[in-house]
Amino acid sequence: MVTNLPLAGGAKGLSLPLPAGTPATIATFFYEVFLLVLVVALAAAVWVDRGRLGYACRALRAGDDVAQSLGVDTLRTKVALWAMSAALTGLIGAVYAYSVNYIEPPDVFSLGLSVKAFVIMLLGGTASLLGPLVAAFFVEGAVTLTQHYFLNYDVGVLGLIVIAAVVFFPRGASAFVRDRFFARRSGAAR
Amino acid sequence: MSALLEATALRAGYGELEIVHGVDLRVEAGEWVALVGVAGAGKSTLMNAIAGTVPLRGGTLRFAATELAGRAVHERVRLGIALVPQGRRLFAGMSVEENLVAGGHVRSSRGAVADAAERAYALFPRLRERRRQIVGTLSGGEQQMCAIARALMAGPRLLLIDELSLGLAPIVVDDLLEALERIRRDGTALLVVEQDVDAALRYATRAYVMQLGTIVLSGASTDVRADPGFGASYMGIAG
Repeated sequence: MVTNLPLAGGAKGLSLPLPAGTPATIATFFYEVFLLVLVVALAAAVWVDRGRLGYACRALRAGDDVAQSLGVDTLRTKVALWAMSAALTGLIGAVYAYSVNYIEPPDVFSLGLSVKAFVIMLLGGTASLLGPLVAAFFVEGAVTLTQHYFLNYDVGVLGLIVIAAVVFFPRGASAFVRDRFFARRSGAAR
Repeated sequence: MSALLEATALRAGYGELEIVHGVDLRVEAGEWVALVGVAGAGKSTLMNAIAGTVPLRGGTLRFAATELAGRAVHERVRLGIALVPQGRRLFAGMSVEENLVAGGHVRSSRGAVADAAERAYALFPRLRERRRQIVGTLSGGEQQMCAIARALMAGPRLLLIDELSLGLAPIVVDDLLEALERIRRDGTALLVVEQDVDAALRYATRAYVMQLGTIVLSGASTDVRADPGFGASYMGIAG
């Protein structure tokens, strides 16, 4: 559907200007910008997690009615979350588009990217900052290596990761690590 | 002076089903009012209608002279109505302290949240001892304390408690009742649903008896208890 929108060149795609410099300096430049975006995203996540919005989100997870009965405006909270999530996605999207300097709809609207994002979430687990981060490095690394050595079997590798994650870490790898090695909180102060 | 909470010919229910058929109920500021009746009488529906989780179908409902019809649950919390729901609905995976902080959502600053938590801990010293403990590992009585403390975090003028003693040992219920009496003395009005009549009427100044969605008996707690029809017809107790 997006392919047929006249926006950004439609199915033809859109070329974007390259910044000046040698390929090496350009790569370094984008590396630094991506790193900055990562830091901004993590900082935003930590800020939300520690603050009022974070508690409102935890209340929402337990149920809309419970959250409301604590005075949480559930609609406003959900809209705020969507907006923040969209803002971060937009931020990285803008940098990404310039870094590849040519965009076409399949870049981000293909099934592969959506699947990849879900695999990262599945593997990383919920209610964790580090989990999805580590999972993103792992999944991205695995896909790149597969493409390098075995060409187009990367989607198959994603499938294998999904199966392994569901079998071994049904609540995400971060929850697995937490339960295994940091089972400190429950039962403490007994 | 008008009442803190005043329901007139209040009707409420779920979807097509009307459960509360025209209830008149009043709670004065700083008063403890008991709401009793057999299971299925409509007590919870009435409580939820006051809190706003069940829609009104008719009648009027005023809180501190503000009409509540059409006001969302979170707005009513800001006006000063807090509900301790049936089954407590705590965040079982979070610590006592985190539950309280979540309850302080409507507070304007971290300092205000901390002050409110300090007052809650003063009321329930057990919770202070167990502030870092995960709520799911607390005893039933401690969980009920935590649910009450979480509701108090919003600084309500009216605290609604649906099923105070369900599944709790009598000695624990005594502690809870004493804590509630301290809360009332600090100026918070209470509307408490309770199955155990003795516990329900011990501190309450007035009581309402509900049956099949209507109030069938009301008045001072002692008068309600002394009413010849109270035990047999309304509470389903023989003799």
